[in-house]
Amino acid sequence: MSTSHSADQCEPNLVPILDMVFQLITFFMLVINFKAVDVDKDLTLPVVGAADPVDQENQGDLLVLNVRNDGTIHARGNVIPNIDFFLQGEARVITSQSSVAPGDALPVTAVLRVDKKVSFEKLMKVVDSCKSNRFSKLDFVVVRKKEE
Amino acid sequence: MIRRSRRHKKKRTDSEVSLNMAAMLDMAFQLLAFFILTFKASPIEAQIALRLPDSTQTSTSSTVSLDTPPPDILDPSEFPLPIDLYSLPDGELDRIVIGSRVMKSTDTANTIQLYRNEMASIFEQPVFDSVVIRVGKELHYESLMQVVDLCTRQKAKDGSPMTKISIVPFK
Repeated sequence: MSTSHSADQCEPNLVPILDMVFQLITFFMLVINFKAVDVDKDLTLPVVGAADPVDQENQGDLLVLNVRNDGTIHARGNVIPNIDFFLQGEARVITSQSSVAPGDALPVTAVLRVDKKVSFEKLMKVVDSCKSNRFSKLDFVVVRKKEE
Repeated sequence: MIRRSRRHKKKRTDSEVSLNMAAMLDMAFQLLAFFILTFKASPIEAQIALRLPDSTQTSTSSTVSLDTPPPDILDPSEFPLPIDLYSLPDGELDRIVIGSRVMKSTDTANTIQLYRNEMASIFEQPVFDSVVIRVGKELHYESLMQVVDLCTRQKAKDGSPMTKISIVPFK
């Protein structure tokens, strides 16, 4: 009698495994990066020691420009064939959306993610283009080396 | 009549309610598989912030001729600290020149080490307020950032971190 009773009630306890799975899901949801479209993972960033960690809360609006080894520029997941034309368009949109005067510096930080093998000449073309289109605040992204 | 309905209610609450966890577990595992497959650990990124002057204030094509002799670094009252970065045709760092001092080694890492030692001796007593880095056009971005990085670690004359760093290309 007791044997048949235990056979009817035999069910695995799924609650602990469900707890564990939800904890794992929570972990992955917290570390997932939804800004991945801005970030070109094919770049190899330079490694330096004294750069400041990225303060994402106080950065304000950002325009991320990825400069690859061959000099091609990617922004928002697309190749930018003409950086001047692209920045002019961005500057026009930002000016119309904010209260900035036409000649003033734009309240947007241009974040330059540049491959470590890019030549200084190519870098300066991008920097000059940013400067002429009133993106006067630039951040150069690097990989932070651990101090010995 | 009332008594019968009460008895009915009591019977319902006594019966066991079992949740089917299997469906929930299926969904949770699907979510977990998605997150595991799309997860890619990225290195810790940092930034070096620079504020450029307005384009109306300076010419964008401010270049320095290679023939221009570097100013004497022993006179910090008149000149910023001049650091010249010469590159090889393949973009590697050839040598670093600070005033009349030349730092050159067999590879970039050793050259940077010599530069680090030189900067330590120059900034033992902070006398410079600003730095001008003149760069060969082929130089790789990594070498430039290593030099800029070491400049930002130095102290200006007033004890504050060195922030006045100009980067100009050689003609």
